Amino acid sequence: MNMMKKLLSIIFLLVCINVNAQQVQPPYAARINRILKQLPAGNQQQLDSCMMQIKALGAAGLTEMAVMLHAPGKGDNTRLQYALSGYATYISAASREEMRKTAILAWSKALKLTTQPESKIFLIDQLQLFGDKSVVPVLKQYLLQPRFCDPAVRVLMQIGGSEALIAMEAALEKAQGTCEISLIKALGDLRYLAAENGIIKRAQSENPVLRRTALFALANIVGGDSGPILEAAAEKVGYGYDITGATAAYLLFVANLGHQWPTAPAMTAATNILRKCKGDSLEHVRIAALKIVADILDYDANNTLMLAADSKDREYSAAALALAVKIMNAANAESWIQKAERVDAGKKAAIITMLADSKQRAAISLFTKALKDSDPQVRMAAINAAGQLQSIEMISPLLVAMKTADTSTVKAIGDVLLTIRSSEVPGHIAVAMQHAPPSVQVILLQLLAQKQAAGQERFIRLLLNNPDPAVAQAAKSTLSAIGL
Amino acid sequence: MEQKKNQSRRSFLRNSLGTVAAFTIVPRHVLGRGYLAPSDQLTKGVIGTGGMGKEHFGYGGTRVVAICDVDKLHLQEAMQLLGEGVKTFDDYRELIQLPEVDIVHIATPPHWHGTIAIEAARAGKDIWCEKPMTRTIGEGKRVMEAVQQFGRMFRLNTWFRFTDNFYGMNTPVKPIKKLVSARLLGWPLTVTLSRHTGFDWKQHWTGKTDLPVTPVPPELNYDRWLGPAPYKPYHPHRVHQTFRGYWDYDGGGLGDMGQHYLDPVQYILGKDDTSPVSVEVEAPQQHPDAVGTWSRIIYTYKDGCRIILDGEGRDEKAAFIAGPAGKLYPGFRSDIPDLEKKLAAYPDPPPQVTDFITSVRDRRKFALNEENGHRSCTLVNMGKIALQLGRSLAFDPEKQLFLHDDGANSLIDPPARTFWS
Repeated sequence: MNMMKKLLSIIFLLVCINVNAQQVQPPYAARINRILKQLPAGNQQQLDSCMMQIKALGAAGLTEMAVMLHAPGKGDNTRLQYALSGYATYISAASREEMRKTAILAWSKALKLTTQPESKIFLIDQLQLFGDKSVVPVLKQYLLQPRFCDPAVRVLMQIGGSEALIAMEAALEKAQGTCEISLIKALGDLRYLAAENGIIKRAQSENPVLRRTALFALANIVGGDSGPILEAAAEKVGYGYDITGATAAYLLFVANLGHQWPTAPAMTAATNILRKCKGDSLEHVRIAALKIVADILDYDANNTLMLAADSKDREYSAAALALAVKIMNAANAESWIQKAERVDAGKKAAIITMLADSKQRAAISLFTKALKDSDPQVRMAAINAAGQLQSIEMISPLLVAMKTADTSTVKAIGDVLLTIRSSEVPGHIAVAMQHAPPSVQVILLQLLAQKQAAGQERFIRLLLNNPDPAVAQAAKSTLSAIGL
Repeated sequence: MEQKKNQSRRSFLRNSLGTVAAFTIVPRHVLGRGYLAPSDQLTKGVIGTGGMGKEHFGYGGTRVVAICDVDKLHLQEAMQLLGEGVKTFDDYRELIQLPEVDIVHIATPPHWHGTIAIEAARAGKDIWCEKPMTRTIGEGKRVMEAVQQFGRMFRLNTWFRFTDNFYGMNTPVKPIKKLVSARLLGWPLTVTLSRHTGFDWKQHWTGKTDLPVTPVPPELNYDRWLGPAPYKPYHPHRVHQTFRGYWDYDGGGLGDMGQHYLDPVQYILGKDDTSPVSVEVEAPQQHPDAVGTWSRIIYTYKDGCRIILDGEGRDEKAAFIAGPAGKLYPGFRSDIPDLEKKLAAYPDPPPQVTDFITSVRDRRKFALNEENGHRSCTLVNMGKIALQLGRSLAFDPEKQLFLHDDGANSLIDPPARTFWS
């Protein structure tokens, strides 16, 4: 009897606990609906609160929420999408690993239970934010299904790691169509060397899309067997542009090869491209090859670039100068300064601009001398260089050059004088304008007005009685503009 | 290999212009097989002939020779505007292959900008790209690399850093840049972009949720319109005039106006070669597909300079620029006495190449190019990522990665759909 009493007490106790638990934790559907009613969250506090409620659902509750997604047109998914994607973004933050693990369990189960393709894709997409290697077994079943392979591959690309790579490589053996292309692209972007042979087979496909994807994948992988295949593909299209991207893929391969040691194979390949790619329509290919050479040689590329700058092809020559800016140092600058003295006017102007772009103050004497050059391109380059370098040393030479310059050059010098950061500029202008031709005097007075050069009042007043009425008027206007 | 004997049309023009001033028309045979008899204009192919593409047909110094659109109606309308003799395509790669095209003008929705720009560079074309430059930070880096690898000239099409009044400031950027460079406002500075300082964030560019599946109209190649974007069933609100409301293609008002507003600010602050170290957001929760509204986005640079995007116009008295030594308000008003007089003593900003035709012919970097354009677009894309995640983020401007946040980094360069199938 006593025993019976004890047993009944235990049963009663268990029933009470269960009832109590049900009161504390109502069924998932009710809890989920309560959460959904609060979404979208209007602010951070509301969001945090909702996310904590979702967390409290646990893996089973999350799974239930995920499988609630309706087929398109069969119900409004908006709040569910806010909840699921909100949770996916929330747990993707640092130090929320435990939440991610639970969510991965829930998502994996939901993907098995959900039959509706759009819902599956939505769930797969969210895994890009928080998936890890533990979802690979779930995702690999989608890699051969045309509807799902692309989103699944995109998640595996984000996850990376050996599990994802092995799964994709294995799937590639049987993959066709969109799946095949997605997998090749992913394996290439992730530089999976073990996939090289499988991809090489596709690099000569009749399907230009497949061929293109394979070529770029091989270029990224930089495997030992890919070079001749990529080179042959580029040769076949005459190093021109085609929709398979053969030339760009080979250039990418060579550039990637240049990042490996030894660099000699990349140098040889890039030099061969330079040698083979004659003709104006391949300028950009030559430029790309030159950049590979310059990247490999780094600061030692200066001589190569100086030779390239001599090219009659202006795009190629300009590209060489642009590359030279990036490796400029005192020694290289000196070489360019000397070269500027030996070349024709067009090249000289381009070198001056390049030295100014790379802020080479050592070139100021070259610029100053160039202000007197017989060629207008060179003079204009020197004027602009003075502005680029904010060169105080060039203020006086600029003012001297102004005296014999044409109207547009006078204006250019005036604009440059306005860009030079020095309190000495107005004083130099004021002195120089006393002996300048009238047209230049007018411009210089305007500069003093713009500079609000009250300190130069004495010099401005000297021109008030100038015989040239334009100068006298300009002096008057300048004083007025300055408020004198 | 077969060596091309003929000069390219553009190269011929460049070289000729240097020596033959009176040059206007050259017979076809001079330029060789397949080339158009040119005027002295550069030629361009426009990809995307919706509203934005059509607006740019007549840009001075260029002549449209080819157009491309995935919507047949857009192509037809464009043809009516341009007349006969212009080639039409529905695949941009065919346009890019044309030897007679000097400049490729990308006027598609932003999710296509990166892919097309990279292909154009590989084909040796110079590039004029509408804003925002790219939809992701990763794409921006790749565009920059491709443009520089192939020695191309690149222009991003927003212009306030060098011309036109800068919205509420009622003045061009030049005097503002001069003021900031002169340090008359002190340092560090806080720039506020809100309707009270003259910048409308166009918060109406929001998307719709739970779109019903709708049949694709016969004139539209929807798969190609989507291109690198993830596949989503068609609905007319996703495409054409309303695409900005969807994260897959743009980023709402921030995507539309962000680079217009932020690029000049980046230039004014002298931040063309860097990015902020943090972005903070205050916004309602964002839907994974449809862009929503936001309240504030705050960028902070390493030196303490801040840019505040005030989407609600919360601070009615905000200065456009505030510094420890003074403030600048809309209309170039300031609390610094005799500002213009003081400013006159300081130097003007260095000159910029502000004509893309000059840039292409002289091979000189355009004022707003692939490098500084990528940086100002990174501001937009950082803001979008923080909004999508609903949290503030720390950023490494050198590595261009978020710090300690794998979720945020997964949005820097999310894998694209393998679209060409």
